[in-house]
Amino acid sequence: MNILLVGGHTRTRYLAAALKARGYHVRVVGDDYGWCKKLADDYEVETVCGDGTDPLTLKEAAADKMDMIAAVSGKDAFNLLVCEIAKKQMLTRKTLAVVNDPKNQKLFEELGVDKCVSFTRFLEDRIEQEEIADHICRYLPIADGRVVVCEAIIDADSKVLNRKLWEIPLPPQSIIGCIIREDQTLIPQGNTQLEEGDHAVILSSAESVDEVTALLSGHKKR
Amino acid sequence: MRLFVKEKSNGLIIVGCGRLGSSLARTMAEEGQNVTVIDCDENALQKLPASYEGCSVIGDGTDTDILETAGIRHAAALIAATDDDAANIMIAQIASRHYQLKNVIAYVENTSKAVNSPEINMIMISPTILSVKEAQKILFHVKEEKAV
Repeated sequence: MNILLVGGHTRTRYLAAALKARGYHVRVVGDDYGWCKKLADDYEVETVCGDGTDPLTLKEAAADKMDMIAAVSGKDAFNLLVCEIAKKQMLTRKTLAVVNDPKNQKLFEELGVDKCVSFTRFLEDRIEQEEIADHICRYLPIADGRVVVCEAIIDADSKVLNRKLWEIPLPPQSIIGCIIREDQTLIPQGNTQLEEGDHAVILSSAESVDEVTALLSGHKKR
Repeated sequence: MRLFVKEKSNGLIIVGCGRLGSSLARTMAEEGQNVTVIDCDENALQKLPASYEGCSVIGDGTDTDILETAGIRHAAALIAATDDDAANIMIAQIASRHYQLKNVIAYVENTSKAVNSPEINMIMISPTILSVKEAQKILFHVKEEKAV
């Protein structure tokens, strides 16, 4: 697969090296001659020096023959323009843009960018996962984040310790789908009792998840 | 003379307060338009004359929050006049596509970057092409006069 990376500095450098190591055919467009030369020398990656938003540069880099063009600079406007020119003038099959301001994601997709990657959103999700990792081991947003699967640990100060499931006032839109007790996996019923050290797997709407985890683990998080 | 002050809902937004943006803002404001200028550099806004009566917003013009602060939802027109072609094209596309603005102008130095499509109503103006046309006009007239 042929990939053309446009823009960016440090990130592009490592990305190009990593993709090359995985066997992709990588070509890079950069605006700084010294940087391009160093990249070509260090990693033996084909580089084209020029303005990535200039159709002539993209033509020189054979953007029309690439399977994918990825605009990875730190500037959203630049990334958008690269993808649009590639799509409309070079007829590149697939375009990918890095989006720095998550608000732009929808706009970029409307304007014909095939795939948007938001590092900001990715980091945000990641930090959120880390933050609640103390009492919740895993946190998995599904259906665009509207539904969340997470795991809460029932500890000694939990209010629901030794209570039966039917006694627990779970908020609507949430359910305990599974209980992991040591090496056993239980599909709970109304009279299943929660014990210390249980891992409760919760399926919940995004709005109710804080309430459920606070209720089960006994700690108010976030 | 204007009897009624124009409604705020008929504003003109100018993004970029460089030489071009600031002269545009000054001229349009003097003509009685309701002008709002956006620039991310506070110092750039100093280019506006003391007599300038319009508004100014400090921030990145490609950010929809900033555009909304400048009142894009009720604006009548937008001119993207920063020194970055990519930013101008993006701002113009946001204005016409996302906010359905009818009158949008983008300044683009390098017209080969044009990515206009029928569903986007924006006009691109290239200072280079304008200058060429102007020069042609002047030279052409000079020639004609000599011929006569």
